[in-house]
Amino acid sequence: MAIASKLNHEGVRVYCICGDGELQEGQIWEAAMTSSHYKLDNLCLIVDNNNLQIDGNVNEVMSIYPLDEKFKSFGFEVITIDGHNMEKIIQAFEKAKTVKGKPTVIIAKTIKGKGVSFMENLASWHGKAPKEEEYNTAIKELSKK
Amino acid sequence: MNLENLKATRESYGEKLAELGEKNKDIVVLDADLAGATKTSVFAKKFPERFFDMGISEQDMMSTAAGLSTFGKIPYASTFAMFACGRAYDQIRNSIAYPNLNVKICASHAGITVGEDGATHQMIEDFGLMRGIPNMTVICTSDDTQTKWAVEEISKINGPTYLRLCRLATPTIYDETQKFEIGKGIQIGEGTDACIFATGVVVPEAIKAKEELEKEGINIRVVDIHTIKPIDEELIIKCAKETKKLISIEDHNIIGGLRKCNFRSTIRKMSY
Repeated sequence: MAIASKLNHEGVRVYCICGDGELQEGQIWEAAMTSSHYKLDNLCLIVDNNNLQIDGNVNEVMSIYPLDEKFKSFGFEVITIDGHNMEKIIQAFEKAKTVKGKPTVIIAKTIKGKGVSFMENLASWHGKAPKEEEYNTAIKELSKK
Repeated sequence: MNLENLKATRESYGEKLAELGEKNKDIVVLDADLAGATKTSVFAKKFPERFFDMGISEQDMMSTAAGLSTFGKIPYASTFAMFACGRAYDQIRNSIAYPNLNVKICASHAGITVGEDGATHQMIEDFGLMRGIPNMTVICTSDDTQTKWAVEEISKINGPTYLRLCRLATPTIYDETQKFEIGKGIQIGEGTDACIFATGVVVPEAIKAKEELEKEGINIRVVDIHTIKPIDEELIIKCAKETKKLISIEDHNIIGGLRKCNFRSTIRKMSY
């Protein structure tokens, strides 16, 4: 999409969100190479870095770290932020827009299930739907904030 | 059939693609470090701004082609059949075919006729893999004339297409007056002693067999099945009824290949 936007001179910016576990896939790094090779400065990748995947902690299952150095060596502008701080998120997006000649990655440090006491930082909630009672409690907790 | 005029379908693909690029500015071409072998290099030389070498990254090539198509481009993505259907199967299925995107996967070096490239490069399961995917049209051309027709024709279909091309130089079967239609096989001869169904590089072999048998007083017909999906059920059933003997030849595993298509069509008819 980012290549097509450049071909068509459309000025479209492309935002792509990845989990951290999926960075273990080879294709991610193929795409990372392509993004910097074709100088896709209209591309902004956001990595949701909560360090949890289905089988457990990312660093224990198959470490992807150091993430910032990896992306730097793949030719990215790297911005690391607290993924729960809206001010920092907006600042990062604005900064990404000014980067020329290379793609940007925003590594957003997050906590999985943040704001719901019984879900926070638990891999077991990766692909599970809450029961009705759990859902109501979760909504109540989130509404308080 | 002109046995003197030998040409590989990948050559015809490269020539026609470059010609088509002139007429249709939406066409973009991607390759994975095999442009010289798949012949996309002809297009690359003529239209470097619309050619993307993705390096040896077939998975990313298919996903990039998918992305380009969402902006109205008509991507032709080429590599060897083994790497297209084998290595990038997931991307073809989930990123191209399921969202029904307009990507043309034109894979060369299919079958065992890749010669010295060896077993690792001999893709003999691609019909099975590609046929099973929803929305996918599957074509396998048998000569220069047919390939040039197919390269242009698939640009007019809005949807994912798999075009199987070969490395081996084979005779030219058809002249320019021959009409082709996607999904319609071509019956060669009216013989009723048997019918050989063939696709791709083995069609000339089937025609040679037909000519040899004629000398012995055995009259058979050959059907060139250039579209594997949708298969020409009507013609298969017609030939089954008229000849009662069906033979299939393909440069492919019989599991999941043309033979399977023939059986399905005839068995279905018998159960009506």
